[in-house]
Amino acid sequence: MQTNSQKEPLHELNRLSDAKRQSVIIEGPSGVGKTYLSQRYADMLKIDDFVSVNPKVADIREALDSSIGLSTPVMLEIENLDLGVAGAAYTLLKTLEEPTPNVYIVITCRNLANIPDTIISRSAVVNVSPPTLNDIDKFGEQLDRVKFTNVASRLVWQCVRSFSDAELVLNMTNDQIDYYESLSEVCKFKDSVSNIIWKISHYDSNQECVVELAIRSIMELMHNESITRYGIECIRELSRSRISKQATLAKFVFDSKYCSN
Amino acid sequence: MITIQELGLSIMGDSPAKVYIVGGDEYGIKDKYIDTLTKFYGKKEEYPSVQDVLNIFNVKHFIPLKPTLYVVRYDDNFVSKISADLAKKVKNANILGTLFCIYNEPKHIAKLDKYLPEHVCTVDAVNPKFIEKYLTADFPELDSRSIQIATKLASNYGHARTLCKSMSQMERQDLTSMTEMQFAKLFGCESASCEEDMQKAVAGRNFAAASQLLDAYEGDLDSLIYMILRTMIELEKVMTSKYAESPLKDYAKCWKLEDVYNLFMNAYSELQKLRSGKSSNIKATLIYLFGLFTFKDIPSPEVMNAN
Repeated sequence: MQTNSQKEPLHELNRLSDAKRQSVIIEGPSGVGKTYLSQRYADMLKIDDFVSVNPKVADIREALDSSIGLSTPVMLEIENLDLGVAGAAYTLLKTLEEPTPNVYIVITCRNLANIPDTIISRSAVVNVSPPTLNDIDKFGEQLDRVKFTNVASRLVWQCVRSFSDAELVLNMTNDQIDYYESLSEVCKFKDSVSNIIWKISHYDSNQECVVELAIRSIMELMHNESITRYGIECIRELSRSRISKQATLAKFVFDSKYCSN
Repeated sequence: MITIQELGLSIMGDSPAKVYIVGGDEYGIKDKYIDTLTKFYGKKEEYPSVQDVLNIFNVKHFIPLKPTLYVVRYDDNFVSKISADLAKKVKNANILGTLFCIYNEPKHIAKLDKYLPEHVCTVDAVNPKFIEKYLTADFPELDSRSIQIATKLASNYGHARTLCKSMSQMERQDLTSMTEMQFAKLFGCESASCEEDMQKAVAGRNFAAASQLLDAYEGDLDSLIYMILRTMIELEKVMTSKYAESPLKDYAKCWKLEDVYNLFMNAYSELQKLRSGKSSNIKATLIYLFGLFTFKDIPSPEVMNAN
């Protein structure tokens, strides 16, 4: 499904496909459809062989080695390269410097600043902006109209900011959807930090919940400027994956409990 | 759900139950009970799924079956299919012997407990006093000092049992002459033991002890910053929850909530600097964080960074 936020990047990819560009970087936040755009780029180039590769040195090396000498074109999508170690990016460098015939590489990333300059300079960069709320509603409606009608007015849907989150919400049970509204009790911050961390990262059944949605639900429920700031900082840090999830959540809870007005 | 005491009494008794479903992290206890039941029946067979075991008793056997211990490990399919009907089938199955199912995931145990509560038990961390008691019974040839060292160095009963097995193969002379530190080094438990002592030094705001331990520490320095964060979370729990149980309870008197908050924020801020490349010397960072213990009121990171 094509959304407003994807129109511009698709136009850009179309232009790059005319030039048969072999190395492209697609940058955008989590869940905006970077993999979908990579597949569309493969379609534009009429490539049937599309392979997603983890940002691990061994996986990238294996994919590159097995693509050498192919008679038909292949597209390697290196997923979220910025989440891998620096070595993973450098494994690609030689192929980008001397492109192998028939091998097209699409690198996806959340933050271009974490990709080495040597990789960026050898690729065309396409930016994808986050989807609009209207895009998300359209996406939800198309995916599951009945479920969407049921959840559209619920708190958790107001907290959805990406297509992948929307898909997650549409697959949630009623208990799980209710859970995000029940966080109003946690918002009193009367419990100990460790208990609050547990509550905002687990459903009542002890299964792990979607933490980003839980944080956004708390921000919506509280309407407090400080908590909104701590929540945004927390979600940003979680997306960077530099510090453990528990520690990042603990900071959010400590700040919200002891430093909000 | 049955308690660990009920599970133990049932297994050690003369007539073990037809079905046990045991979860939890303490794999040593699960192994111990499997050993006990194997000795009881004299025969143990492993099967990939609960259904495979139930199928055995759904067909006629020309050669009569002997009572056997049937062990099934991590059968996720059984968890996903469990329902009132299937639970009834399991309860009514004419199992000759005992079916012993092992799980690790708490959510699996929670689901199975809903349908088979009288057969489910979870075995998590065992009190060190009980570990010592079990080990004394398991290894009568080892003296109490060796058992105490194994209990202290190990992370759980299963781990302690492995250490005791190794110790029981050692020459008696070596066993009595070796220090706790030497045992820790020999068994690769040095960092765990040191980390525990380090946590006590942090909770006690003891700069000298923490720095000394840091010099001797050979593990991953990065994990020590996380240990500081964990310690602050634990202290906050002890200080705000009247009934919270924690080994750090006695140290709470050294802290004010404001200090706990500020030390957490300082440690987090330093971790951010290390991750973003603004700082690279982890040891210097740890010394800096330990140095904050000496302040009467621990300053906030904003104050420290402004200086």
